[in-house]
Amino acid sequence: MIEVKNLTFGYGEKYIFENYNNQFSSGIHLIKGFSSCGKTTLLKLIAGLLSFKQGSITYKGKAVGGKAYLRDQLGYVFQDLNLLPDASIERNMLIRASLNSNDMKLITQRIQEFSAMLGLTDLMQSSPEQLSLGQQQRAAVMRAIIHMPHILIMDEPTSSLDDLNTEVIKRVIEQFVHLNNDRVVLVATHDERLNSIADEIYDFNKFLPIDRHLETMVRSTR
Amino acid sequence: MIDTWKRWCEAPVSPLARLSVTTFFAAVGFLLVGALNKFEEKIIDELNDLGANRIQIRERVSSFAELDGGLFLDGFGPYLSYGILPLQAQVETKHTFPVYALSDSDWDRVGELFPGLPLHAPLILSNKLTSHSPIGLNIKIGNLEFEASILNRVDSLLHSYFGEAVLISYSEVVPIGNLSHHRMYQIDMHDHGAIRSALASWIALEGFIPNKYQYTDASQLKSKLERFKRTKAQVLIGASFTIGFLVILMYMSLTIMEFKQSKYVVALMKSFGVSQAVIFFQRMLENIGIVIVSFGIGLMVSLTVSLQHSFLSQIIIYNARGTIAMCIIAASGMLAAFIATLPVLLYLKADPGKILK
Repeated sequence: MIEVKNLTFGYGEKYIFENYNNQFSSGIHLIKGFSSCGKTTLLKLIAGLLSFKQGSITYKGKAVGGKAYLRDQLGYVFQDLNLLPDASIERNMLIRASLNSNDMKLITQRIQEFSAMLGLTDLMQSSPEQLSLGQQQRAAVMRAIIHMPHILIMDEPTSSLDDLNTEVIKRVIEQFVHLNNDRVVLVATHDERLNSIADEIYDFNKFLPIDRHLETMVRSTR
Repeated sequence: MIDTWKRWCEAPVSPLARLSVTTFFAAVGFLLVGALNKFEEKIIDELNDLGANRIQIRERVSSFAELDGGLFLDGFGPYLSYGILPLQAQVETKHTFPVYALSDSDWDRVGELFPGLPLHAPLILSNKLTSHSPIGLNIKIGNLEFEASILNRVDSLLHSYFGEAVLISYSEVVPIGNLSHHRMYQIDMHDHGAIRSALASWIALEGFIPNKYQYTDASQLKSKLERFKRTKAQVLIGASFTIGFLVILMYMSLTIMEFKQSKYVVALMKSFGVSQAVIFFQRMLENIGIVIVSFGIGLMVSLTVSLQHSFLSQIIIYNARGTIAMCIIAASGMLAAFIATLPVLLYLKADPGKILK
């Protein structure tokens, strides 16, 4: 279980979260809300990719962040995907998987399994720029799960994907959780198509009043 | 290491730029070292030819009979005795040379001192004369004519005894007469202190007569060589600093040019749980590795260039002093590579979440 307690965080002087509390137990959690409402920020905070001064975020009672947490427990699909542009898809996988395992046989086996599951088998030697957006998105998902993490965080994983690609990703998420009931999946999304797989849906809009959203949006368009 | 190699293969421009420019600097540095070595060797040779490593004492004696008598410096080193003719030898090439007359025992002593020296007199010691004749050249001393052989590559020690001269048997020139008789000692500098004190005692006893004795002290020439060595060291330090500075400048420029991409990759690696120290040391080792390979290639390039270029073929890259100099330049390059890695620290601390979207 991921536990967020009294979290206060902001960029500059404006707080996005003030004494925010929440718990994310095993299963699939969708986080919904307006743009710039703090969904991505929350995911990054839970991932330990942003540091905060007040409050605490723990996974199984231990503070998130740190090398071992990032390396072994966490898989993250960024909104911009962030595949290494010069490396082949296979090397993107190898780099990630080899960080927490030296067993090349196991890594190779996983790459074969996951690439088949995500329909990427014939694309492993291609570079990201040679792939379509849907293929890149599937590759980013594969990289996030290749090391079998306990927490999978996905930021808009199906944005601008067609129904077929979305269905592939939904199936992968379900299988990922199904393999180990202890796993936590957090998905920030606007996509209604993902509602069917969610164990819980969080509407971020209820944490932030509408005028605050408008203020944020106006600020971001300046 | 494997990952580094694969990364370089995927994006070869950056490592190749570092490699090629560092190789160029290294090759230039090594050629400079080679040229300095050659220059130093040349000075040392010239000083040797001038007797810089030896004390040379010439004594003029009153008669031929006195020549083989013991002198106070016996035991300190070899000596030669000879007579000098007041006439110059006229060579058919129109060159003239002083004439040194040696007794049979002197020829034997010359043979012992300079093994391999052709001992059939007369013998012209000259680096500027050549002859295609197996006999050599005709020379004329007074009214007498001889066929002389030529020694072109005169040993520096032999040169310091006689310079450019004609050596002839004493018996051949007796009819000409009026020889002045001399005895000369060549003593290595390491006996300098002992010789000086022996000479001082002797001069105190007999008095020093400039016309009778010639004494060469090489200390001034030595100090000139030392000054050159200091200058060389300064040039070397300057070259090392320059090369180091240029390596820093280039590597830092590339680091700044690649800042955005590099920042993103570092953030991504951090998000995968790779420690900051590992990322920094990997970057540092990559830079140092490129410098080491560049200096290896630079050394090969400089050797190849020096072998193929007639002007540069004279330079000396391989010798003890050259190796030290090359190590200094290589060390400055590696230090520069380390310094050039420091900008990585600027974005190593940043939260990956602020860089990755």
